[in-house]
Amino acid sequence: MRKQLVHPEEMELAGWADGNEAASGQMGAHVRRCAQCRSAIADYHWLQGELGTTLAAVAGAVPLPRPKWWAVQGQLLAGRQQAARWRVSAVSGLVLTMCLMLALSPVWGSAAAAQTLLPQVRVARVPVTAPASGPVPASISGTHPAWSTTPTPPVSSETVTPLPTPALALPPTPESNA
Amino acid sequence: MTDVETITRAAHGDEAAQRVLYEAYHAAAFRLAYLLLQDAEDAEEVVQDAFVYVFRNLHRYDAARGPFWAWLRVALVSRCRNKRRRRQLLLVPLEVLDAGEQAPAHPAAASDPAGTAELRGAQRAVWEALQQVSPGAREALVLRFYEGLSYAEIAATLDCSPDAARARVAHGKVQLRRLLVVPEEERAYEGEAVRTARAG
Repeated sequence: MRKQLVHPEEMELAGWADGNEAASGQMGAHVRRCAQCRSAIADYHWLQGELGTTLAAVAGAVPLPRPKWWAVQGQLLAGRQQAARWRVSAVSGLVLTMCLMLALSPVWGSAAAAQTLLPQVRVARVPVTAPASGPVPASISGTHPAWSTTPTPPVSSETVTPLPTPALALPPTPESNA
Repeated sequence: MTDVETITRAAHGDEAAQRVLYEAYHAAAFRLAYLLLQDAEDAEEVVQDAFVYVFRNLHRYDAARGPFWAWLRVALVSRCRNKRRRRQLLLVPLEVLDAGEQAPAHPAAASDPAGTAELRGAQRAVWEALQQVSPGAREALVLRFYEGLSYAEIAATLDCSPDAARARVAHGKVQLRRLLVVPEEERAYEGEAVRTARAG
């Protein structure tokens, strides 16, 4: 029975022409016997040569544009400006966020509340004893804003007799039945 | 001023040094981008974007890992790939996308005379056939046969394994051979011979 020639894959023949001889032993023996495969490898050798000269010719023939350094420079500058703007925005956002957090936090809140409880000027009540002189000021209350205080009337230097303390009324003592 | 000194100064924001680098590598970058995109306008735009990226990230460049051109090339190839994908999305009709069909080749590429005016017959045929090769394979072919990169370098540029790079180059050559060398009837005969041999 005549043996059929098992041709290598096209990819293998293409690789062979480029120096890839991974299966060189078996493939080499076949190529030596097979005119068709030798023809294919010769095609690939030719193609590689033509490819090299063609690409070099095209690259050499294409008109070169003038180097536009100003365009590259402009893009680099725009990039730097954009980066600076992003940094400013990021820092501003961070500062704003921190301020908001502090304003809303309990620490700041209690500090703010304490701020509102700072000493306010309290107007002393008019003493129970009769004033030594001068009329009793009409508007007296427990808390006054500082700007609406009324002057405290001077305390009289005369000796004042205190009012008698009323007697304490005690409940009757229950009678004992013992 | 040596290249290393220029790069160091450019990394520190020296615009004069940056300009020196730009003008030194602009031509090579444009040519490579043109070969990958086959469109001069797109190539120019991609080159500009690649340089902007490189100058913004020049502090990351490590001279010990490779030359400056290799680093710039990675950025350039990546942007060419993105540009090509955006271009394809703009050109493909929705019905084609819905049907899952392959997107057509970029029409501007086929008609762009800038690189083909001075080509002789075989070179023109190779250039036109190259535009019909799949984009990934075309990238690998350009890096292999124009830049002269090894498979390891192609892998580093395309962010794939060396075996994948080798496969892409081989795949591209197979496609080119089918377009340029093998006539239709021989392709059918060839396929039949392989199938018979495997079945036997």
